[in-house]
Amino acid sequence: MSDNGDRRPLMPRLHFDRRSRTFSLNSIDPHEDPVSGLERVMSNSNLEREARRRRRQVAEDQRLTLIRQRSAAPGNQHFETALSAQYESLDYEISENKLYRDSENKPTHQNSLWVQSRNRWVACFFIGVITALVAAFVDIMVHLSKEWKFNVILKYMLSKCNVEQRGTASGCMWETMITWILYNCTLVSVAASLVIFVSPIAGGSGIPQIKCYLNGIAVPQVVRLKTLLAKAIGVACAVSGGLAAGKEGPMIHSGAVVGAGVSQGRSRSLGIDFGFFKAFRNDRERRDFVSAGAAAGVAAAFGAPIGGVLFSLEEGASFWNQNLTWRMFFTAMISSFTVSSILSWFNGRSGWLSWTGLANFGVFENKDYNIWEIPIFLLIGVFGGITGALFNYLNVKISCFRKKYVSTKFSRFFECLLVAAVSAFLGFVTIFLVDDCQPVGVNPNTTQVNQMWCKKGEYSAVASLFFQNPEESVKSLFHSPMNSFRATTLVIFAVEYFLLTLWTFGIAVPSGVFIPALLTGAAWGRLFGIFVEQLFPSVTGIDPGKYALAGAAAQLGGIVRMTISLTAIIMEATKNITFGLPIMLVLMITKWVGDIFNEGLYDTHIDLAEVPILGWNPPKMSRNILAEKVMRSDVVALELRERVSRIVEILRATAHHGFPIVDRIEESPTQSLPDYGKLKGVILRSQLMKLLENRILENDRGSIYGPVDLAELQGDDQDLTVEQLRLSQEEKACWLNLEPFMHPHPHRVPLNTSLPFIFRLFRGLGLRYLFVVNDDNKLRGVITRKDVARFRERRHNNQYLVDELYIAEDRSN
Amino acid sequence: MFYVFLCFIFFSLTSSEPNTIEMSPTTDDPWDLDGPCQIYVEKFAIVQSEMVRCASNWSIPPKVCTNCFSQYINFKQVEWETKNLNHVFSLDNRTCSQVIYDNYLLSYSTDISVALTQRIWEQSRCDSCLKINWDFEKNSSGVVFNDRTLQFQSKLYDWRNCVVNYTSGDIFEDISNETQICSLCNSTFDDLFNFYWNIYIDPTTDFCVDVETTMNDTLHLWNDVWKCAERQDRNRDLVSVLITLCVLLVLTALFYTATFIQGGGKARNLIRYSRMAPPRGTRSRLLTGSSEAHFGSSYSTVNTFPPISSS
Repeated sequence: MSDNGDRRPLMPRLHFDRRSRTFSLNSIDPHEDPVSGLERVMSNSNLEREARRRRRQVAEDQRLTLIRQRSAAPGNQHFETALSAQYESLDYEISENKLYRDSENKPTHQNSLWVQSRNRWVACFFIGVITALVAAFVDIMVHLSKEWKFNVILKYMLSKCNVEQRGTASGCMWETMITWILYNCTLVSVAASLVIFVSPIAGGSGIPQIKCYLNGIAVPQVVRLKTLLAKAIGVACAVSGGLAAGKEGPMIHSGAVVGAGVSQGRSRSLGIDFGFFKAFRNDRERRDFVSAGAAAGVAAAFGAPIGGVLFSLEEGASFWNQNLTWRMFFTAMISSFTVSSILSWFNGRSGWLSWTGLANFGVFENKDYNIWEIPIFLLIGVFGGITGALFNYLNVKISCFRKKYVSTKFSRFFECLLVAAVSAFLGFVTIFLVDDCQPVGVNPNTTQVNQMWCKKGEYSAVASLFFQNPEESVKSLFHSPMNSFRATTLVIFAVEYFLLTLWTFGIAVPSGVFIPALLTGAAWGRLFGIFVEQLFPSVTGIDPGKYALAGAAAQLGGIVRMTISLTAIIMEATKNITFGLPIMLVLMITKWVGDIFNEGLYDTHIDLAEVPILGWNPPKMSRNILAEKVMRSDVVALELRERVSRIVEILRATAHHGFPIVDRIEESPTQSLPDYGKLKGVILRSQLMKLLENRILENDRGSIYGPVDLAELQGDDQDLTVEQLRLSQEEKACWLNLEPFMHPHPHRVPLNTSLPFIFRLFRGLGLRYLFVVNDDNKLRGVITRKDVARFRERRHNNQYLVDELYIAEDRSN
Repeated sequence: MFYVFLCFIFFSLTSSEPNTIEMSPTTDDPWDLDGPCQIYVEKFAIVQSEMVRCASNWSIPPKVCTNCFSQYINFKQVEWETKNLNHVFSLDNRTCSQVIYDNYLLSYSTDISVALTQRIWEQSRCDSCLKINWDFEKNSSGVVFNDRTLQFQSKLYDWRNCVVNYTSGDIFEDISNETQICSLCNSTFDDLFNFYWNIYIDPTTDFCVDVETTMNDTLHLWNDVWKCAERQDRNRDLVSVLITLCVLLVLTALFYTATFIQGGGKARNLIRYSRMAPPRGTRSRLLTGSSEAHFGSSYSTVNTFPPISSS
């Protein structure tokens, strides 16, 4: 510092005013009269009130504009604009409390680090194997049921009928029909009962739920063993029961459950603790294993390990790293390998490892395509986009209806039976009405044919589509020679299957949408092939199979709007890289066209389930929504040292899963909310429970401090209630010192943080809580996932708007 | 007469006159290291060409299995012999088997052998119709037709006999004039068809291509040329289909109407966070710290969130 600076006072003396007077340093205006200054300070609260009034005014204005925008927009339903309060976030953040830090100094820590990284691979290996076992189980059950249904029962009925009706005028096909319907209804009723009475979350495809889980939302029951059992048996029954349902989506869910279960080394449904992989018993580790399990599920379902990894990347991965990718790929490969081994053994060709998963689409012999075919593929893409969007639109309508009206257990069960009966009947009636008889020998590959109403030596081409499993139908649409199916057959089949899938997706059975969509698309895609062949008769070698493939991709892409993973899955399932470009083009066009109209099916169903999911990007037009407006300011906070009775009451009266810890909480002179002190840390509900359970209390004289196991304090959800702790009155008078157990540096943002910034923090770090502090680090509010997710962008009249969704608190808080 | 002709087709299997090696143009090139093996290659060429000729002859319709099995046996026999020529040596002291099978970049005779075995014999699924008991050592391999092929043949003959019995002279001309044949020989045809069909639609058992094409041609003749096929009458099943349709339609309509009338969803507690009222009651008390709050004995758990807007 120079002398100059020392000589010059900080506050220059003002020479025109010689009166000696203390100038106020606090005041903005140094010439302010002390008296008026005092008045100003006194009226500070008035000013603050004025400021608050102005803030309220602004908020009210914003709300009114929102309401105005909303009332201007037509077709706004409460169902589509609410978030359910029942969903909580997963705990991805490590609670870096003192115990956690101290454990690094333990002599066994080095070893446990090594064991942990080894165990990750071991767990992944078992996830792959067990997922594959589940997949093979489902596949074998479906196969056996198909054999039994078509090759024993129906064949017997048909031949019996054939003998009976010789020389008589009365038909007896109705016996066959009724048998068929009854058989299907029986199996579907098993599937429906499993879903309705055992595990409701097992219904549907499961992909939306896994997507939510990987997004960081704890969907209740989603990764339980009970769910896995209901899902695996249920899907086998649903597919065998002739519903327009696939087993691939449920396989992905099953894989995820296996991932979650194996990595935890215990089952809560059974109440068994195997005692291994204890280090992985937290949401952070479990998430990685779930994503590996999902990848293994895809790999098992389609024989597509790369597709599986990409699926996890595309659908779930908010969180990604290279090691995890490699482990996921390993899991997927193991799974796909195990499925091949088991199925090749089952099919009597053990050792032959190129079996392609559950969905075996066969290999294309004729792999050529020309440059001039690309526009046709694009056209198929456009068509797929439109029909996919239509599918989603209609399915949402149906699902809304179901959610509102078909809500009792009985009605849901009956609906399943109804769908099963109608599906079987539609198949039968199509065979009855469509006179597509093909002479035997046209298609040398199919010899399992049914004559039905055809003349001798001909078989019903429609019957061969309905009398087999959907995967085989897809295969025959892909690979049958040119004239195996007539155009009318294909049209009728495509429309019928489209409608059936529409009706089926969402009933209370485990059912995927992959195979039905592929089948619908393959049917109309093949139709395109037939048209092309008639348009250009001079061009030889047009194979309708590849158009069927493009159509299948387009239809599925239009419904689920998956991109890279779907491309990889289809390429791997058909073992064909040649059609990579056309499939990619088709899926790209499909997504563009479909996105004009609505979202993908899974996203729509997530919205319908009112899950507070965070998408890839923050809502547009939200930069001016600040943390102040996003946060909730009525925070239930704790002090560093807290009376047990208060903790007990908080735990009992609220359902919050984490509590901020501040240095003090004071009554606010101006507001109804208390004045929180500086933010010191955060403690989780489960940790509080654990502390109370182990009675780590202090009374007024000293501490009763017991040793605590570190692993037990890492956000491990116990289903204990406060009553089960059985705290005595004396113990309630004790104190709980939270300082060594709290996470001392939770994420926090200042009051003026914008919503997009908060959104990215949440999404990128997988946060559960974000605290809002003022400039002095004093707690002002808390932001949870629901607070962020309730701001949703919407496009109306080509303008982006931000809506605030309702939160449906259907349970008591 | 026709019968005799057919018999000729089916059992004129082995009558190829032996093409002798003497007829082949054996070269005697002094520069040829492999001279001593040449004679075996030529012998192989003859049996191969016999097999090729037979297969080509029987290609419309493809009936290789029943017509060319003796050629196939001959060909396989010589193939086996060439593979086991361990006692004959070329001039550089290698066995002729080595010379023939692993000497050159390209081996026409191997390629032809592979094509004959895999593309023709195996693709015709000949094993489904006949079994060859190989005995290369003694050169006495024999053929056994399996039961279902023989049964098929006898049923086919029954039907053909029936047709021949009711016609005189040229069957094709006779039958295109009168259509009585359909009813006259229907039972034998049914017999034949049912036998064939039951095996055809069974995924575990197969016929060879010979039988399949014979049957396809027979069906074509019966159904399309003679127009004997009877369509299955759909109308007699119409009533039952309509009844089921009505029942299902009524059930569906009733079900959804009933749920629509009964349901309506429960009232929901919808809250907008931005318009939430300040906390009251228990929650308000919970917010304040334990140093200030007065914790009495009342642990009332009232729902502290009055819905701001609910539907």
